[in-house]
Amino acid sequence: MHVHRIGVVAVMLLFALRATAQSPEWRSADPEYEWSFPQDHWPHPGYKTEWWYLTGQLATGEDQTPRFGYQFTIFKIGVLPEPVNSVSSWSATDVLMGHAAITDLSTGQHLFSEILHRAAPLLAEFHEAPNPRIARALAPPGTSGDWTLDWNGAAFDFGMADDTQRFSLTLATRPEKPLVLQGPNGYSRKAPDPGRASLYYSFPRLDTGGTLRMGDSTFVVQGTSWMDKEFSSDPLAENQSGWDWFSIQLHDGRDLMLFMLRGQSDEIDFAHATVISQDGRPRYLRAEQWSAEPSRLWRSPTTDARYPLEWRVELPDEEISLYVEPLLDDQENVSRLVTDLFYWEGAIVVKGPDDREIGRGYLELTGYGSASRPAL
Amino acid sequence: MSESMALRFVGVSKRYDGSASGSIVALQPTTFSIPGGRIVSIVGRSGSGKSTLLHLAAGIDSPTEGEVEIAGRGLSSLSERERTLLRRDTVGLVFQFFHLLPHLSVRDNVALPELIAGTRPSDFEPRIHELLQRVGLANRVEDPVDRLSGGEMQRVAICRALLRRPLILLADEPTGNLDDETSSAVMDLMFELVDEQRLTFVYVTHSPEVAGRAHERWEMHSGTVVLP
Amino acid sequence: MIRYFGKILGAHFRDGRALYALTVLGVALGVAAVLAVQVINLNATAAFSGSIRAVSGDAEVSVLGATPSLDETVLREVLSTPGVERAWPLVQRSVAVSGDDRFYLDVVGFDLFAPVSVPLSHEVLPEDPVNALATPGWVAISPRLAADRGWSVGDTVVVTSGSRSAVLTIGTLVDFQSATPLASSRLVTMDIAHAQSLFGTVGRIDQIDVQVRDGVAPDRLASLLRDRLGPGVRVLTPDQRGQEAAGLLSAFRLNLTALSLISIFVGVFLVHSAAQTALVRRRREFGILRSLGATRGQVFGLILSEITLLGLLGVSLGLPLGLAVANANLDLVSATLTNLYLLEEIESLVLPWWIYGLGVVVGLGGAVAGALGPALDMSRRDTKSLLAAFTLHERTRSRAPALFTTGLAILGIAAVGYLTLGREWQHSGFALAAALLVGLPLLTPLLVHRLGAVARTNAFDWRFALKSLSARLQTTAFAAAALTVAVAMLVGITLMVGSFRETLDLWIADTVRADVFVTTESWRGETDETILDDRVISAVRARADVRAVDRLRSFSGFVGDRSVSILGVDFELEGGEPRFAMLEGSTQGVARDGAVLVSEPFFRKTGVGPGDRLEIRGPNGLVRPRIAGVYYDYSTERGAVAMDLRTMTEYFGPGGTQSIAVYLSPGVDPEAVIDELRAAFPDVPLIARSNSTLRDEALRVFDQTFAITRILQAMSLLIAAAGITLALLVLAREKQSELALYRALGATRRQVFSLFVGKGIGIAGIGLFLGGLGGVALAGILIYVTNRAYFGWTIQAHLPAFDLAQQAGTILTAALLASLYPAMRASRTPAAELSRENL
Repeated sequence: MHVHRIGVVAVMLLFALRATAQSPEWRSADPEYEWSFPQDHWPHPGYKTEWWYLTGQLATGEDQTPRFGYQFTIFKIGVLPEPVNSVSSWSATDVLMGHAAITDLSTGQHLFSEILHRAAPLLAEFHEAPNPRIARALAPPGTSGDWTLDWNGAAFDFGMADDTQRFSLTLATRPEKPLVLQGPNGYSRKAPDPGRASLYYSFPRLDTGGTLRMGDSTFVVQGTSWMDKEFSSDPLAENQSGWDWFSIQLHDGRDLMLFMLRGQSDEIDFAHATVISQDGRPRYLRAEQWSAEPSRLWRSPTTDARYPLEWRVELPDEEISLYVEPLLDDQENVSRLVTDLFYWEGAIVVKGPDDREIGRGYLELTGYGSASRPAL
Repeated sequence: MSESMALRFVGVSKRYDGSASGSIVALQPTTFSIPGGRIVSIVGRSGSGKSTLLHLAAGIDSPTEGEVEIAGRGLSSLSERERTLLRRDTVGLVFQFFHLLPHLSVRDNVALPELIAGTRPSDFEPRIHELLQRVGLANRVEDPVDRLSGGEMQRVAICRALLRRPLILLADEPTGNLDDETSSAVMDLMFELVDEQRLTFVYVTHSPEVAGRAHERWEMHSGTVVLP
Repeated sequence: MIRYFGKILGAHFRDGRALYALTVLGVALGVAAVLAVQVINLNATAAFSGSIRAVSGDAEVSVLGATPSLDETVLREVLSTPGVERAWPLVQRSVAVSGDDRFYLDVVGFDLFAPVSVPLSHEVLPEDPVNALATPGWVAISPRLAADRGWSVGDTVVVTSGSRSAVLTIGTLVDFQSATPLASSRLVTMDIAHAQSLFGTVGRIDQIDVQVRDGVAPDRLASLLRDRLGPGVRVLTPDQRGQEAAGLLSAFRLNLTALSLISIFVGVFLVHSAAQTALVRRRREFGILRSLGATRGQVFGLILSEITLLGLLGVSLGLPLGLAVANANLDLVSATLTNLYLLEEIESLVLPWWIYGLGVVVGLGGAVAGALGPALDMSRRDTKSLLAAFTLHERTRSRAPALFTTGLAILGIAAVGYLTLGREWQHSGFALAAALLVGLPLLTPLLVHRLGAVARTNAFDWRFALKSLSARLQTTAFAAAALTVAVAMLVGITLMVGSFRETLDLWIADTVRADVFVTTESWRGETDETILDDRVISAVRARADVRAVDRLRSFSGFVGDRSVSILGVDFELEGGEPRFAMLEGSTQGVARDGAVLVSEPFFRKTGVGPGDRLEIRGPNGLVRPRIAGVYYDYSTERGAVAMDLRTMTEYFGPGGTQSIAVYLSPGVDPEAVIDELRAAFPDVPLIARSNSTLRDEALRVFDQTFAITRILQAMSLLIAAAGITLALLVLAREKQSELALYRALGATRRQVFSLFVGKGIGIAGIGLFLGGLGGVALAGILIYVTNRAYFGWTIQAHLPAFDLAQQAGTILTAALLASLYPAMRASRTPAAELSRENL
């Protein structure tokens, strides 16, 4: 009976995103945007999409080698640029979508959880500065409690639980390095057309600690995270099918952020890299200044998409030449709430030419697979 | 001269238009006159047209050609209704199978013609008793007829036929359903009554002895009457 | 044999057209009656189930409030319950289209962003979700509704709920009905936020639908939710909701089914008569067949094949006829469903294949059952009797006394059984009625026979005709028996309906005393939110010519699992008049002590009465007021609980008034007051009625409800009349010799004609007499037994003399007309038919 049912929401949602993108009511990323922190850590009304994206690798117990990779993301999807005059507690201008994943590197288990709620107080809420709670949403059905994202004064604390998938995270972070704007004044272009851009900053290194529960076991964990925050009103251009994004924390103290936007035939439409020095100063590289070549493709048994999981990355001017390898092949996230939403987000290890580990990080691959839509 | 004729046939014939086999002539053109008080018997085998002749005589059926006259009145000039009314007053009928109504009593069966005529019971009640007395069934007045014997039933039928003092008595095989002994008793009775009441009596029979008791004995073969 | 069958079929058809037609008609009518009733029964709840399905889709469990609406925070509780895969909220309202208080829309507010598969196939435009949120009043409607009302995308429609009105904008067309064909075309969907702010109450929703995780049994989850959420909430699976509706309707449907069974009975009778007539004609033919070596089985088979053929013909006529009747009565039945049971109206009929199968079985079964007797009879006779062309041996006369005794015995046993054991048994009314309808006809043969016996023959008139009826008892008694049943049914139901109507009228006169009644257009929504604007109430109170204003607050609630109407009025109203006609107990204590009154249907169905404590599910748990009395309530068979407004506030929280009853000073014209009120509040959707208008409306609804029974009655009467025709035709045929005798003895055609008409009227007279008696008994059963047991009403018996007289006249006229054709045939019997047969 489910065959002919269409996930109405999914279609509606995505239509909403695509169609109203360029409408004038939404605010566009402005290269002259005036940043002010900590206020900018909170949600920005009037933009179509915004997210808080945390990934990292965590070790437990005595062992310093990370055992877990994790991802925690809160998306704010704007539906109405302006609130509607309504007395109902259900009226909302945004939708909150949350994705969380844990990879147990020792057992090879990867779990994914998601939530999707309209931002009405009963279900989910975005707050304004200086409320330490940035966002809150009901856990998935069958689980009590909320998913939360807080500003602790220096960085982010967050927590989620999913009793059906049987995992939960409660983590607190502190910045090891300062916040970095990704692109001049945080204006991060996404396409040859200079008008298509987002406002983007990152915390490249966050000292992370807390508890992680998987199955019946609870772990006290600590490790390093990377945090991205982006907001914009321009999704991908028509000819762009997806992107590859890398966050790499090198053991020598430097951090790299690379992304490539691919066209319909997998050619690179636009690319950008940021190199962050040990003391936190960013340098922005244009596409010609670096390269990333994929090698091994992995076919997902769930979606049949072929993801390039191994890469060779060269940044000659930085004297960086490294190989990216996934710590586990199957770190694919497949959404059940939104149709055709699936992507690969996983913990990676970065090795030098001599095959020695020189860093860790996270890799995100979207738009692979015949019907896939990128995660915004 | 015709006034004294109780029954007259002038060139009367009866033809049935059959389907595949063409017409059937039940009665060939026949002419005769029967004066009042006369007793005529008609003998013939079954299918010879005897019943047809009787039906025509009673006005129950209409001839294809010719004229039937009862007591001088020609039937062809009368409407169906008028024929019926005439029949009420002038003809009495007795049948082989008695044709009594099983759900009625003896008295009711006899009374039937008067009921049909709409006469007041007080006017005909005495005559019923008189007739039943005459035929020896006075004590069976209220009995249901299906308890009677064949001979008794025919006697009831005779009473019915005579109730309204008809001019002509027509009988179609009156003894056909009776045994010999009862037959002669019934025939005796009929002859007596006919004599007493001065009736014209025409009867059909297949028995030559019964036929022989009439004034005239006619024969019928295949629709043709053979007068003596 | 088959070739023979084929050859003779045509010949017999030409010969016995009338008989064949009547056989086919009998079958058709029986099939039509059963089909129509079953289709209606099926669809009465199907529409409701369809609506549940359309709105709730694949939800396996629904959470609904036990009292007006649900606190929306319950959603959080539900979402956090293990085993829940998805849960989504709904706000549902019936809103009236402004200016047309008869036309309703079912507004459903969904969370358009809940990740749920809703059963829609859609033509949703990309801007739609945004518009749905951005435009208050944006709705999606079905293409059918748009077509019916002449609306298109972009149009606005003003609707009202209570005293609130809102403007809806048709945003898009979504074909709900393609996925769930039974979905009401009045379904209108919008975003929950707007639904709540336009029509609902902040903080409250109406329903939460739940999809259960794979591997979890819905019943277990429902039970877990019940435990977690408490008694203020009902947790049901879709089946249970359907059963609730079915339960409401069970009496209604049962009654219809019973009526249809009677139609079958009468139809079978018709077939029997026709078969008998036809077969009697063909005695000689069968005799010849047998003498040529055909076995009994072959003759039987031949007869049965013909009957089957006729049966099939009848079925092919009856099926479309039944559908036509069902369709024609959709409106009537829907009116009953919505008026009395607050269920969905039927918009289109659902016709599963098995309904047609049922029709075929009934038709063929009925045909065979009807013809079986004569068929067996004919095939069992020995050859000689067939050839000798004797008429049917009258066995019936000897059996008459035995049949009579059996009939009396059945009636007696049923009566005694009821009086001693059956009073407590809910179905005893039906058992009694069945016994009556079986026993009564058995009395006819002896009655006819006796009547014939005592009739004196002093003229060739109707008494003579009466006497002759007993000559062919089998035929005449049968016709009289069928007419008896039809008349009994007719009289019984007329008496009951008449009594009911009279009782209703008196009750209305007793309890509906105010001069003017004011409510809102959407009063049937029956929720706590369809309230009357306070301004209106104040304005009315302020008038000098108003003596008192009585407020009514009402909504649906639950006592245990039973849905009841909960009413609150002002029990201590000054200047008002008593509104409740009491059956037991008194209104004392209602105003002061928070006691309540229950309606008679509730009392009779549950046995809970004065002195007991009632358990009503309130928003915060169970409340247990004392019952002070029982009042008569004919407005619905649903139970009702009445209490003082203050008690209601205490138990259910504050709420508005749904309607007011206004008492005017003597001499004031109610219509004038109504006009002034309307003029004073032009933009408030009011319905204002004077006392007399309200009474007329109530009676109109009543008449509408019982219209369906009239149709079945008409059909039965038709069949019975046809039966008279057939019986007389049989007589005319069989007694040809007798008729010929009358003609030979000088009876005119007119006399024979009158005789036959007299027979027909004689049969009718017997049927009327016996049927009248039976009808009175049946009415007694219906009024005093069935209605009390099933609906819970006390009906005062009344004699609608005019109606009955009219019906008697109709029956006699029908009998007269039914006799005409056979009488004509009889009168045409030529006197020469005096064949060589015995009478």
